Amino acid sequence: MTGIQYQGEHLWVQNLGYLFIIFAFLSTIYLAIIAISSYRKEGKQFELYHKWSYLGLGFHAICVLGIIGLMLFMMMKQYYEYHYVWEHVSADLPMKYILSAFWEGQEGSFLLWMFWNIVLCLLLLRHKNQFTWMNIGIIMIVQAILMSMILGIHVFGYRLGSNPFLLLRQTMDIPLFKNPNYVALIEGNGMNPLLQNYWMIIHPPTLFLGFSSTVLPFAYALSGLITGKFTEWLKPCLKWSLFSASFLGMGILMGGIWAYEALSFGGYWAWDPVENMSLVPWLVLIAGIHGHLIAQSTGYSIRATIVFYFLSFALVIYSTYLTRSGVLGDTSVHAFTGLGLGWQLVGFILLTLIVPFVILFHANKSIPAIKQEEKIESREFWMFIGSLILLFSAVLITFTTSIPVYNKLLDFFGGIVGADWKSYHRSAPVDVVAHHNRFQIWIAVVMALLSGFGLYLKYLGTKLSGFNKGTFVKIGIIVVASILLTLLTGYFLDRSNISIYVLLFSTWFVIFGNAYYIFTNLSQNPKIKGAVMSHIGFGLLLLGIIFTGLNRKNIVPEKFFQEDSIFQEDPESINRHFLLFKNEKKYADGHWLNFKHDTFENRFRKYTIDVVREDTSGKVQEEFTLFPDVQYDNKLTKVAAANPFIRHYWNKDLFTLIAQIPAVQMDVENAKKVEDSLRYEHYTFHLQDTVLGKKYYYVLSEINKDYKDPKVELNDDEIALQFTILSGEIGQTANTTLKPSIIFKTDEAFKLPVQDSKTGIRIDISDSLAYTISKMNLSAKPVRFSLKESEEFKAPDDSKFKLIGFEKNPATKQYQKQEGDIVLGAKLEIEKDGKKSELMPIYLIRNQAEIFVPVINYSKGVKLAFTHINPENGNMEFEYTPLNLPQSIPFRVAENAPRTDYIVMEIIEFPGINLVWTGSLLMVFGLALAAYYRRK
Amino acid sequence: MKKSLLFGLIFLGGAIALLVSASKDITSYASFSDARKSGNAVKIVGQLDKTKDMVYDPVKDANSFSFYVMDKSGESIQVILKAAKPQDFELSEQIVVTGKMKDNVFIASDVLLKCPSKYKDEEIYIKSQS
Repeated sequence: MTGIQYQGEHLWVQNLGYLFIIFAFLSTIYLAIIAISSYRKEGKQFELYHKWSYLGLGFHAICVLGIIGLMLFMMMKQYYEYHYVWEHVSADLPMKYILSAFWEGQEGSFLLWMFWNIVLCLLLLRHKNQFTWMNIGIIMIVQAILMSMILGIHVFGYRLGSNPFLLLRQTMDIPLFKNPNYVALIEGNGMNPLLQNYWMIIHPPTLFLGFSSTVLPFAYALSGLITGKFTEWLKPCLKWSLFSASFLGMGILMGGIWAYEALSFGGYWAWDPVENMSLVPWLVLIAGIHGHLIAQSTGYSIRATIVFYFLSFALVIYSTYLTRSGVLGDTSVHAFTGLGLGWQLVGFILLTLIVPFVILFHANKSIPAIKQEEKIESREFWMFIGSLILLFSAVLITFTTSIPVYNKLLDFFGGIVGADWKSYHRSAPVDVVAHHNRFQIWIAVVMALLSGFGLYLKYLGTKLSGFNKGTFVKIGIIVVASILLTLLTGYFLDRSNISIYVLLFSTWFVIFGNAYYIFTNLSQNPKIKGAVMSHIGFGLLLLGIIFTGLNRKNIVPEKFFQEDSIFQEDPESINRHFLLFKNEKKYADGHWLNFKHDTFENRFRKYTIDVVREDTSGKVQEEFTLFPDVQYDNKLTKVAAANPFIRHYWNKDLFTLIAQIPAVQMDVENAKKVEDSLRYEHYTFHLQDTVLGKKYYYVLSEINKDYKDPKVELNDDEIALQFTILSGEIGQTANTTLKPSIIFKTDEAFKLPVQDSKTGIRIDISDSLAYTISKMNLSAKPVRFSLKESEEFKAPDDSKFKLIGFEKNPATKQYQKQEGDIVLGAKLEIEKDGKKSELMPIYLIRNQAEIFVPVINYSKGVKLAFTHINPENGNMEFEYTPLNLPQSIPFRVAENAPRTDYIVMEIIEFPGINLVWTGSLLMVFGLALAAYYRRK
Repeated sequence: MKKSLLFGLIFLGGAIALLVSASKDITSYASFSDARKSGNAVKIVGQLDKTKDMVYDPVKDANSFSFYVMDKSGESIQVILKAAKPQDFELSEQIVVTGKMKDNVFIASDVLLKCPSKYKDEEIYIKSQS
């Protein structure tokens, strides 16, 4: 499509964007080389290298901020000729979601990652040490690889990265782009409505800060190996490991809250691949932190710590690959789709796996290790076991989550040897939640037990003799207290078995063990506050998981299970949903539910459901209202998402969701299908006459000519009619009133059909009425008459016209005075159909021509023109055209309209959900606190 | 070294046992005839058979949605999902149903849809004339 001069494109954005991207990419390479090689320089040269590194970092930061700024600029300005803008923005996107729209796409989220990398470099510079520039160099290598993901240049026929500044016409070839003025014609696709949620403003940046900061322990460990300072890196690195774990944890937690509050699955964790792959690096990082603490206090497990940190970062990259290459396909609901970055990401993973481990292998012998074994009664021994178990938890999760990757590998190697191994493809477990829970619960039990007593042990062990009575007594107290608490809380569980009791015991063991530690031992080492807090948080999280998992229940009208149901073993899967008719109360498990109304506003259909909760004796406990809604897509063609409404209590949540709405409200296509399925009969109605339908009869009792539709503004010469039709079953008294209406604007007519849900009657005004009325003006015969002031004329239809006065400076909607006009308005009193009113037709002479501005008033049934002033006798001449509405109104009536006054709901009670949030927050704050104590 | 070796072996043994146990959950995609034979809960990948009717009448039963799925062998079977009709169901390119076969009807407890991605959707909206 060359040779077309396109109009309205803002190509300077692209040019500047390309420039920033190229410079940002080149500056990473420059900075990586300078920063890493500065390590061997000394004295003046050292200073010089640093000066150049500072400059390079500043330049790089400006370029990346420039890219981000440009992207935000073109998104705010809605330059739809850019693919990224078209893809993620639409005119109706609220400005507050512009950032969410920015990181909705892959390129934007890579840029977010790079932004944080720069922030991390600046943070590192605040606490300079011997590893700082090496670390920055390593981060810049990572940055260069990330940069390559948005380069969008072709190297040896392979496209490297996906450029955010591509024009729409550069990404697809459609006839629209033959039009030089296409920019004026397109509008944005808009943001996925599911992501238009405030959590999407804060969750991605937090998670990405967590992801990107895993590079810090990775870089420190690698710097330590490269520089041969195998133990010196430990101390300055620890705060960053804790910092990273804290933010990554926070990011994962926010993802859980978002899923719970905005998604419809009714839970905070679904073992979805995307969730799993954000959890796994965190687990390994936590394992690394424990190894790190051991290494710093005892000198054991330095190598293990390095391995944990390397793995944690590699897993972040692996997670990026899984979520962004499209490999997850049908196993995850919220994976990104591929942008063809698959191989590039595979290369990235291999690089992060191979290079650091080769370096580790080379340095292996030189890393100091203690020959003597850890003592079994030492803290480090049990901590290390804990780390291994965390690692193992990560291995298990990754093992199952990677199934799509195994399939992909089969295809790849099958392709090499020319065999089709599709039959070996495997799918994720049938019940993925049960699958993971089965293993992770036991891992949690061990972790909880270890974290419960670990703090009471001492580094490097206490001789058994010195493993004193005090410690034994303390642990004894904890065990007894935990057993009591287990029995007490177990009583409140809806379901339980022996393994649940074991889990519950270990949960109380870690909570009580750490809480007790605060009172007995804390004064000895204040730095350990963070650890205690995190461990208590872990315990509370487990407690929350137990209660939300086991006591979660669906609130449904009647709980009956079919005898022969094959789902007896899993009663949760049936009868989750229930139907609620408008204004028909329904009793569900102690709750009286009443669906009052729904309102449509701003792409949302909001529902109001009144609830009265009663106790078993029927006494009212509380009254409240639920407001769940459904959200339509940006083009209002269909429902895009159902947004839950959650009522919070101190001890539980009530999670409510609209699961289904009537088909006609779902989407345009379904509405059409329903309309097509209606069997309409055509009838002509006369006022007060009875029309017989198949099952019901109808009486047109009133025609309101002065009907005012609240949404449509009418001029005098436009009309809206509302018909009142009474209906009843044949042989019965009328019990239904329907009020269809029709609005005539100057150039169009709107019909407003009505439907009665209970009877299934739908009445629509025939199109022929619109035609009749629009032609009325032309078909009626005008009556001409002349009057002097205060004379009266009676038309053949008995309408009376009396000239009551004149207006020399008339101003109406139809007439605006111009220079040189000779104008006169005649005021006439009219009496038609027993109603009196005043009208003012206008007569004028403009440029020597006679012009008349008639009054057209449908509701009065009059068209009146002031046509001439007779200069000889002073008579005013008028022309009256009766605009009488037809006496017979054609309607079409269907009696099989499906009900549209219901919703299908789901209500879930989540006890203990606050424990999940509190526990997770404590874990995250504990990590942050630990980082804070080590900030120096 | 003995103690750590011992623990290492215990760990390795436990790890292998757990992995083997975990891999048992990993199933191959079944066909309807497999489901008929086994009688156990299976996962079937297929496509929505659009030539046959989809029925969801919440007024009758809010927890029953009937449709037809064609599995990879081309067999088209009625599936009854014991829940409300999922959103965007008609748009699905691929369907994964989890459940059991009963009297030649597949009773599904869960359904996963793969919908055409909005990223592949190359439809351009032209501004309306207004």
